[in-house]
Amino acid sequence: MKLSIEVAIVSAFFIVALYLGPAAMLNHTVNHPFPYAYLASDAFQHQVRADAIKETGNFKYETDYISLGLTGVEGRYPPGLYHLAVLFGNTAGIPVYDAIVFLVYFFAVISMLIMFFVIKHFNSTVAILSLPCSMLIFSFPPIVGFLWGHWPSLLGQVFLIGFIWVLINNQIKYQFIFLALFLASIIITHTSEAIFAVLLLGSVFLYEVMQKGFSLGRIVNMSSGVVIAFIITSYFLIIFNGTWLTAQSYSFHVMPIWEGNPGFYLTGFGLLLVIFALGMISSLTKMKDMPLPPVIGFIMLLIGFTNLIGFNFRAFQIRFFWPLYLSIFFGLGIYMILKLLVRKWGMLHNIIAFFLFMILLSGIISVPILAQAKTHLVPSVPTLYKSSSPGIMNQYHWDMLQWLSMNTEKSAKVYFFYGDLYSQDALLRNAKRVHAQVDVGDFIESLQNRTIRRYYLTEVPGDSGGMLGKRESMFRFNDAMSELPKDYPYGRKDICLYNYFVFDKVSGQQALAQYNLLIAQDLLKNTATKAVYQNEVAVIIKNGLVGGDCIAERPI
Amino acid sequence: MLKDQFDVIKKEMLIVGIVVIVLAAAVKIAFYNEPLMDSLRISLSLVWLFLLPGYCLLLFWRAQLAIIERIIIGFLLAAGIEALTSYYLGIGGVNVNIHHFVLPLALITIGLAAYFFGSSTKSDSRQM
Repeated sequence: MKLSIEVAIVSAFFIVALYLGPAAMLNHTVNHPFPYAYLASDAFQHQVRADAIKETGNFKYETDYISLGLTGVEGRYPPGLYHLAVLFGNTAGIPVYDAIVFLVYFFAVISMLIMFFVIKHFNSTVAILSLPCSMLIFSFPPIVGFLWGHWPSLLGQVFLIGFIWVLINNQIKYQFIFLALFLASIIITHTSEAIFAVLLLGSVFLYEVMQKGFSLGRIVNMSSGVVIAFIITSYFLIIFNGTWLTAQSYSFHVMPIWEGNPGFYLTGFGLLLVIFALGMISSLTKMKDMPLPPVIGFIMLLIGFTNLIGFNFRAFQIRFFWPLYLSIFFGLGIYMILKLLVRKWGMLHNIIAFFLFMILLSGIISVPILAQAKTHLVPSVPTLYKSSSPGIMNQYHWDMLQWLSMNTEKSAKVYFFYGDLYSQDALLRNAKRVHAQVDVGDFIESLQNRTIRRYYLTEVPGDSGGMLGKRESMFRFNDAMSELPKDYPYGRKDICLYNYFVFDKVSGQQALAQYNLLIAQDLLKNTATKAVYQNEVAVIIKNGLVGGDCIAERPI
Repeated sequence: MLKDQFDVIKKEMLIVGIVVIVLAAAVKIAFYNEPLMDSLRISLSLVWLFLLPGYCLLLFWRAQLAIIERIIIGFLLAAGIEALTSYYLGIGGVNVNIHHFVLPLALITIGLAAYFFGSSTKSDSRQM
């Protein structure tokens, strides 16, 4: 009876979490006419790469429109999420841009259920009471991880929770197989989380040694898991080592605040911190024989602070899942408090407390005193983020980008003039053509000088993170950027060298849109140049004089 | 022995079926703007890609893990293995666009093979 009630609670939680988290963010639909709820460039970066893998059929190389027009650049980004997005998109018959975002949210909910089983090893009641807290990964600011496209890190952490589940199940037959598979999954999804996984494994091992003494069997089991994981991911790890680790090696650096990002700090738990503190203190009182789930909670808390020892924003990414890693302390704290009120705790109390906290933390009902706390900037109770937004993209820009990807020659080069959206430049890769965009500062200066020019300061946007490595030998990669002129990615460029121009017709700063249209009109003075596509917000012009004198410089 | 093993699967299929129904209901309730058939296709895609392969792979561990726990952890395990093998198959020249047929099928086969030929005769499973 007790067990089936547990299953019912887990099922109810799954439905509610899916409804209030992922579905609410995605406007309660999976299929969208354009990338939905993408709030930053990084989200497009991942979507485009997954799309490119679908197009090319593999991730041997990064496509040219992602890597600044260069070909033969080794696919170096951890590919796990992209492949899953293609698999799911193909099976469900939905676009990759919907599949990728759905999977990240969906597996985040699955990870809550796995964490339930982790905590259940410690105590069933605490596991149930922890569930509402885990939903807070969909509160602000942790939700930023989803909306701004930290997707590989988030999915990597979902696998990390799988890895934690394996650590807890240390009696399971052939445990090293699970360790290897989950560690390998982390490595190919977001490799930096693998470093945290190994740190976690080492800490758990040390704790076990302190608790039970040294066991050769354990060390063989754990190290076999790690060795197998490294072997099965060795092909990717060689690329990772030759690119990411070469370009972004570890250096000690204290980064207390995540500049430019709404990072999550412990104070973000607000009033719930009292409950967390109680749970932590209660765990610490049994320090001598503390079970593994709270030990892991403490380790994940500390890993979230590794921004102070050089792990920079990677530590802040771990904090997106703090509500999940630390949920055990919430459950334990609540249990401690409620035990004071109810002496004989039973399943009915469990159910009531579970639903009460689900309601409180979901923010379905606004509790006046808590709402007041929010306005008066005193600690409040975090609740789920409830505003669904289409994000940066809109139907018109999406249609324009789709037109470029389907109607222009594969070798065409596209030049984007000013657009409000284009500062999030990864979205431009949806044109699926090598592209460049005007430097906004130079564009404004040119407008202020009242001139129409042929040469503008231009950026060739692309993903050069972790080095654009071309393979020289099995273990050696050459930075392809070194082959290019220094001013290639950013410098004064002749717009006449491009095949297509994109002009936005509307802007938050209408003067910039009008200047766009003035340039477009001057280009169209040449009879060989034609407007080939336009909608309410953008116009695409085909350059009829590529390499020639496509526009006359003049004052306006 | 083989009959006992089949019986275990038969018994568990009922629970797997209930989980599939709960999953389909959850997807439809949460994503209520999605037409019913599309919602069903999305749920069945999750079942085909992750639930069934994960469940089959973990059949070997049925005596140690409760079925619900196996199904949930199986989701993640299947996802991890598929991501990894899809990457390597792609590099090896097998186009990624056929992996959604091939990979789940392969994992289901491997899982069942490990269960029928690799596990002990014990037919009892842990219940949640």
